[in-house]
Amino acid sequence: MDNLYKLTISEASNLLSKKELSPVDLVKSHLTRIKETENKLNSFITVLEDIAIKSSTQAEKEILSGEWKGDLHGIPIGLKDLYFTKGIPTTVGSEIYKNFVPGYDASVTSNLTEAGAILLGKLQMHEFALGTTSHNPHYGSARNPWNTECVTGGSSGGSGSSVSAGQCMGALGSDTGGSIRIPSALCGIVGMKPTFGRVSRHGVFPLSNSLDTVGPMTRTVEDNAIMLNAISGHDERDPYSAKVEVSDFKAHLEEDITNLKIARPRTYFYDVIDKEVLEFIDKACEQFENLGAEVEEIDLPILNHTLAISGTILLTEAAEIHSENLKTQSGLIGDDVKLRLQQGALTSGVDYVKSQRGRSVYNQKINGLFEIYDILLAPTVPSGAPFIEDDSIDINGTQELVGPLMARLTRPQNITGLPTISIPIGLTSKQLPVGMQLTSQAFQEGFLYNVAYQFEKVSTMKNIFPPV
Amino acid sequence: MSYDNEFTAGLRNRLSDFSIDSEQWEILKPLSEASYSSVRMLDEILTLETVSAAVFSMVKA
Repeated sequence: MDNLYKLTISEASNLLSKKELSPVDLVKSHLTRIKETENKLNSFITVLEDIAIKSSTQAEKEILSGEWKGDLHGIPIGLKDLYFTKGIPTTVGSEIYKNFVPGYDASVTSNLTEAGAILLGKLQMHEFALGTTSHNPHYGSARNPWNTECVTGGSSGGSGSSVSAGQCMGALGSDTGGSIRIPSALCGIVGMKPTFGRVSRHGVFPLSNSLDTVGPMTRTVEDNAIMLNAISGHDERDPYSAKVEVSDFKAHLEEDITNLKIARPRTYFYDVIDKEVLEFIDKACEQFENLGAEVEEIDLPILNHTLAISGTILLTEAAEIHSENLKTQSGLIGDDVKLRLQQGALTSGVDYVKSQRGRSVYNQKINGLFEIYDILLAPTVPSGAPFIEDDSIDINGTQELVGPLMARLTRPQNITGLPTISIPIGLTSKQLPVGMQLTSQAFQEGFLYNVAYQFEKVSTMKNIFPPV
Repeated sequence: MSYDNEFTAGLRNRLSDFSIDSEQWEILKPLSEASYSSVRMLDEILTLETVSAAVFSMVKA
């Protein structure tokens, strides 16, 4: 079978379970794809070819002997290089941790390998996950498979490019201000930021303790649900882990969404936006209406405080985590990341607490919307992927700084901690993907997958492949 | 611009603690001022009753 790397997780899993596909062949197809494309994409910091071949050989033995573990058994995946992997370097995209080899697996690493997934490698990222482009001074820039002169978005840029290009079938990213959803949107794939507390962060190098979330990035909604199934659940080793029941996220994909009530906030989300992105969002709203949903535009002035709350909390918490690095090894940190950490270090305690108080009011207002609406709908990123060498991008005649622009629309959902999925909705005239994000109440990921899946069925953007 | 007492009192130590030289301070100063101003705008929505503990109520649910 040619081009095995183009299969979705669901398709491959079906063949594997029936013993009609070898996990060794599947993994080798992806390793070949990596060899063919990696010099153009720079998605990986570490490729684990020997380990992957050995693991797939073991998976083949298990499946042939009737010990099929489920949907991820024999499926090749990648991990952003901040997930602890026992005995395998975990650089956090940095020079400081380039020789760090964890002595244990992150909980989610264990979850995935116990489910039978095959780890192909550790993926490129913005240093310390503190940036939105995945331009990395230590390991080079991750490059967008739709145009290798463009950014992948970040910070989970390698996760975005590798899944989009078929180097792996799914990957984990992490999302503190948009780091799963931004590269998902810019690379044309599906990214889920689960509810804060839904997935354990034990063994995940932190950026911001009250904002960090862990989630999957895949080429289809169903594949995403399969991965979230494997990593969700309470973990007492993570003090922020929620004791909430986990149901099968695939179970409700086919449910009808007629009479769904969707809120489309006008405030903030459309202050700075490319015309083509706006057109795709308008069209997506029409598609939802054709599916029987009701879309209503709303005003929500509290959103105008997004950047003050998110920026202050994120940078201050990041500065606390990296305070020793700033004091003793600042020369080893890239200029852009160092500047953000220093900015966080200068925040006063008064301002941090004021931002947390603002956050509680913010959350109250946003959560109140769900007394009326089922879903909040917004663009994921205000533009297509900018060029790697550009610090700013033209949006309707005004130059906007790339870094802040990329995360402008994704920060609100980190403040609230609410689950949010980004799905592809179109390609710009420059053939660059555009994403839409859907948000629901806390711990309603199964419902979000249902809504996204129904949209995906009428979309032309399911499992799309870039030209690389 | 006047900063909180807490901020100005510890500023000199903070700059050296976090490896901030005069060149970087030139870049950071306007960023810090802008951040300070945007946080002050939060007073529009804050009351004495709001507490940061509410942020984590969802996790305990």
